[in-house]
Amino acid sequence: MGKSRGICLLLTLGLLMPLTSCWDRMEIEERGFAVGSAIDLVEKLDNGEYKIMLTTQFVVPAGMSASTQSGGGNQEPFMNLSVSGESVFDISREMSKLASREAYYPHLKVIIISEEVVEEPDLFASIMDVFLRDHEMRRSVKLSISKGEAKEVLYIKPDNEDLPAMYIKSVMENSYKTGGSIEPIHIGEVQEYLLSNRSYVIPSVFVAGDNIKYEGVGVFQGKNNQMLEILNNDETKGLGFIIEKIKGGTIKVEVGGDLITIELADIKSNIKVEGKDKENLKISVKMELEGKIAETFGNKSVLDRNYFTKIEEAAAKKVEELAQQTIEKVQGELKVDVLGISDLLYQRHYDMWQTIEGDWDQGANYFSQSTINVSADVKIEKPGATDNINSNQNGDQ
Amino acid sequence: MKWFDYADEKISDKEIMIAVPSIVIGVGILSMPRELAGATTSSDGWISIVIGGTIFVFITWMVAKLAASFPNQQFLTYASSLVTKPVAVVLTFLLSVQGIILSAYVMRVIAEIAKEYLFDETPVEVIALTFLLVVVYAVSGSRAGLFRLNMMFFPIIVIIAVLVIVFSLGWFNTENLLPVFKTSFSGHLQGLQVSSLSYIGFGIVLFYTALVKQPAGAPRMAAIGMSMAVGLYLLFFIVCLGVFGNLSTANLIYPTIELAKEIEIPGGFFERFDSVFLTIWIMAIFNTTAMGLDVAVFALNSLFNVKKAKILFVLSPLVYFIGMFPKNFNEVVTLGAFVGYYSLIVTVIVTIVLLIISKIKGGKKNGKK
Repeated sequence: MGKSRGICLLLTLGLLMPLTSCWDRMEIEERGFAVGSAIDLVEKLDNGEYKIMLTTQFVVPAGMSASTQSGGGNQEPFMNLSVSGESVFDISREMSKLASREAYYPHLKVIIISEEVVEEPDLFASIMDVFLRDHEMRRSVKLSISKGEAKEVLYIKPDNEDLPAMYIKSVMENSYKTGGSIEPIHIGEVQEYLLSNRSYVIPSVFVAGDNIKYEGVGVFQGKNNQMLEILNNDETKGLGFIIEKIKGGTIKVEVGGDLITIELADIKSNIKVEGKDKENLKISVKMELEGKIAETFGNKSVLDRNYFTKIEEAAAKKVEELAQQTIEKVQGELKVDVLGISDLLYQRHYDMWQTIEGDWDQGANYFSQSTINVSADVKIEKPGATDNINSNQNGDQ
Repeated sequence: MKWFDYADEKISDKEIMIAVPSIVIGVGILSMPRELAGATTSSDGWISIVIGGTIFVFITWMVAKLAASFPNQQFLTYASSLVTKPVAVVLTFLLSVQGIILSAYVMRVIAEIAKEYLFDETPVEVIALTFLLVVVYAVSGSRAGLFRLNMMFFPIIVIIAVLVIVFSLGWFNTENLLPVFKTSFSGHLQGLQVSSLSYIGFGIVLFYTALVKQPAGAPRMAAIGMSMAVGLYLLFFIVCLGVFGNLSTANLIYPTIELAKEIEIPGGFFERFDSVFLTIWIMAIFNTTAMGLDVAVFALNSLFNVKKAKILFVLSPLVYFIGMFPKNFNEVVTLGAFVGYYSLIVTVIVTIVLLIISKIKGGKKNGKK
């Protein structure tokens, strides 16, 4: 009796062991919350490998604005650490040694990669690997390339935000909603791009004085994930119209010598592939836009139906021009399909796609041989809150 | 008086309905979209789920029909009356092995997943042991209690699954589902093969129907239960495809968990929804393991006239060692394939053989039925 009771006691004590569960205990104060990462190219090594530099932004809670009043002093709310090495994961572990805290990535918001990195063939894909493989990483982290050094971006701190990484994230979202920039992409999408052989675009940021600007997109070719060129603002707009990745934004048109700004509200684009001859495909892009008059510099009545139609026509022409310009650039010059036509062929013309898959925007490059027709239709819904604000409207005409 | 009702180890057919999806839904769905997307073109995998699902709903119905035609008789008893005692003993033994290896495999997989996503530092062995101890505790108690636990957990599991699906819709892109109907015949066959492994576990109906008070409704209920699992699989697969696209789905180790990781609920409070999802999904896996182990105990109990606790005392270390046997992830996958094929072959063959014999003999002996 006594013996079995002893065994029971021993077993019970043994069971206490798994209950402690202290292996993964981690005090929240000891975690270094990473909110942004930037990757720069240091040098290309002789053996074909690359030396890269990872800059990670950690939150320093003591420096957040709420606590500065209670004696936080002049401490910055963030700390940027840069370490160079050959693999991102090694670097981030190395960083933990410097940071005195263990880097904790699930709250990462943005990744900035410098253009130097993505201009090297295949390097982009190797760098993205760790961000997609590691279980700590979330697939909704936003990604952008930077003109110039990527780490510089993480040092831009405006007065109204505490953390540069949060600032960058807000700028991206804001520019997309109202500024006519392209929709920010997250690394989950990047995995789709990397796995498929198709070409794609990734938005870019750059430092402009004390602020950052979220403008332009880098064009990547699918076969080796190498960036070819960063499109300028107008070309990006044109691209955004074609692939429906723009929301809002403005276009300026001139009607009868007056400058009129139209704020776009809704953009729809309908791409169709016609013809069966793969060496000369006919592609039609029909864009339908809705907008309202945001600003007029003249003094004609916007309630005049004829004038209204003229504005609509001028706006449509402007959109067509923008789109045409982009197409000339990516089809004629860069010869890579970032217009989403390969997706369309895969989705709607699967059988034809099977025969041209390998030669679409590489090899024989059927993409550059195809004809793309652009047409746009702009509908202006509202003239705004007022007809005219200039009193001498009759005298001028 | 009331509690005697609970203690009489009898269940209703509704509990069978919940028990079937409880054991079937487990670790399979976490990786199944990957295998299926890899085998088929674009989103065509749903066809495999629908065809495979229909087949398995039918098989489940057949299994329950067979068991229900011998009301309140244990598997060993009615199997002996059909195919002589020695053969019945062998069959019982084969089916109990299914329960053992199924729970061993599931225990290992959940330990691996929990380590990957939740406990970074804790050794797999410890996670698995802790998990198994809880399962053993559940199994050592009342069998009817286990069924009631299923009834309690299942709605929670369905709710979390629906939540993940609804919140993912924000990332859902219908373009990702195109083109449709482009998979070759062999692709569909392969899809059927990989998805069918996610349906194993319905063999429990062979044993548990004996506990049902009025087994006449059991076949229908078991089939409905299986349909729930099929429906959930279908939803998860389509949402994974719509969110990730075919290529990404085919390359994510656990697409369903990544789905929970991808979603972001505004407000920041649930920024890491994946940990909530995993924690609740462990309940689903707990059900699977507990039912698997319990059916093994139940089967062996009918063979050896010893106490349930003693059987469990021998089985638990066995389950633990089988589960810990694979050395790395690839070996775990191999074990999974073995468990899947073993269970499928054993359950389907046993059912079909017994059904045919009962039909032949049924005309003569079971005249009353």
